[in-house]
Amino acid sequence: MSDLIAAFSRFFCSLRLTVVLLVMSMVLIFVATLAQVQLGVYGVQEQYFRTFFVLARIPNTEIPLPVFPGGYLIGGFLMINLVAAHVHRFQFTWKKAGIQLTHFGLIVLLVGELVSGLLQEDYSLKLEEGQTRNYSESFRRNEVVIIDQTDADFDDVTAIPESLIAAANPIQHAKLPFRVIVRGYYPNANLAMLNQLPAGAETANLAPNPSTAGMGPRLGLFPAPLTYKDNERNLPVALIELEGAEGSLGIWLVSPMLVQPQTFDYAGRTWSVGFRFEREYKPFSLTLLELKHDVYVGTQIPKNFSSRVRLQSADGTEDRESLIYMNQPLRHQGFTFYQYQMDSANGFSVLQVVHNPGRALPYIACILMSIGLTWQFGFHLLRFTRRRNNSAA
Amino acid sequence: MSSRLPSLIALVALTLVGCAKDEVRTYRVPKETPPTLAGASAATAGASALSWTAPSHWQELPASGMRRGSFTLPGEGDATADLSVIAFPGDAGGLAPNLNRWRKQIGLAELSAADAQATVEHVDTPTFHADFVDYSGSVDGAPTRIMGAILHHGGESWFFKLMGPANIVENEAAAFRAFVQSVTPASP
Repeated sequence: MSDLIAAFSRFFCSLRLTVVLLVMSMVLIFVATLAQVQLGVYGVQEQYFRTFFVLARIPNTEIPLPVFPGGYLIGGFLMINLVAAHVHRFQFTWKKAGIQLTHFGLIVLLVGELVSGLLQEDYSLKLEEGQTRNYSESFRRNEVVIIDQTDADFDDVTAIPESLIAAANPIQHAKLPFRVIVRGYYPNANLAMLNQLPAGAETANLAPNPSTAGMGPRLGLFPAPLTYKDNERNLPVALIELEGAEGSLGIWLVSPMLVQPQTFDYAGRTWSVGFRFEREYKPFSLTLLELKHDVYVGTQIPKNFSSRVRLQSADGTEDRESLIYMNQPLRHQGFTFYQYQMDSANGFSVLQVVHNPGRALPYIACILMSIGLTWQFGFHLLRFTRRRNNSAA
Repeated sequence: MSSRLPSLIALVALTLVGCAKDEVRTYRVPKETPPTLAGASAATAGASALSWTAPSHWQELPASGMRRGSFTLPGEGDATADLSVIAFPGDAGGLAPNLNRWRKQIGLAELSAADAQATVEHVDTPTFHADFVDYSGSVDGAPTRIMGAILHHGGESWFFKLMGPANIVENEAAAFRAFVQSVTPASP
């Protein structure tokens, strides 16, 4: 047993491991920077850094193979390496206090990135002037929702993440009196009304559309390549069959492009089915009271975008107004609302909603490292000048 | 022992890859009040939004691109007519050029400003003054008709255009007029 502990200790405390990990991280950053051309910033973050392994598909198959350690693995090992080396060799002396503090700052920085990667939520909140919303929508993620709309005041929502739709396994949930079967899924696709396709249009790219209910049968489905551009998002399409005790209720074509709910009645209740940007409900609501798009006098050059909003908590304890503009976000209950986009001609404003429990950690890390480095250099400088003065005397 | 350690650790890490798992969520939320009148739908614009009431047999399509509203009106078989609602800032280049743009779409000759003006029927709806036009022409030899209404609201010109096979437009003419009559500023 002690043999195993010694092996662990040797492995994780070794300076050789540090060097190997640093070289690996350099290679990872280099390759990811090249890949950014195709994948964009978000794609690279997800596929190279916020993952344990960089995966590549075996040609002509969907089988992924790990080809290189990802950011989490290299960063995680670096952190263990740093901590282990410190614990193993720790000996407090004023001479080394600066180095130790700097390394501690580095550990905090690594932990901060892990916390952000795991817990940060990045959503958008689009408000028309006068509109009130108590939810924000994901920039990337989508969900299939089946909503029991029978109650006059409430909606009972069953939200199925896109990843489960992509996995295409039948879904049975206690809240649903039917099974959800995925008959087709396209991570990005375009839709067009079949009868509005120009005469002689290229229909060879049309994907099979077995839908039988809702507006699906009238739609043409054109699969599109995935986009990784930062200013675009993939709009998926799914073909969802609902199967009750007596058999199939129909196949619905759902997509975030179809904003009108597709409703049906089953088991004495009214349901709707749809695919939408993933929603995050909050215990408070925002109302857009006024948006302003100021330009420099005599030009069309934007000077300032601002949104005046009213924040009301669900329990009625809070009701206040706030002005959100560049570098002046609204902070509430751990959420930060930044002015993100605006279309004053159409009277809507988009706020970026960020929730990051680890947002203070990089600042703390930088302060620790600054103090550590200042201490270390100052200590040596003092010693150096003292020695020189002594030798001069 | 120590030589096997890195591979052992890598294996443990590999199993962690599949750990982040999405799950079905269920929750109850208060019904969202759409920014529209009950039973009506509204344009997606804010300050200058309009709302309207459409017959139930019209198939509403999502507003997209320039369209603030969009409907497909079913006819016999697969034939349909298209109703679009588009808004442009200001007078959108003037009445005559816009009417001539419509006329060209169904193969009719362009008119002078005065002649184009003469084709307009002025109608006061409960809320607006609307310019109605009704043109019959053809597309690829098929009789095609455009019924249009133009009104001004919120510094924008709003174009309501019903275009399709002449027989469908004929059947829907009264419904289209009622639809334009129902247009009101959307309540915030």
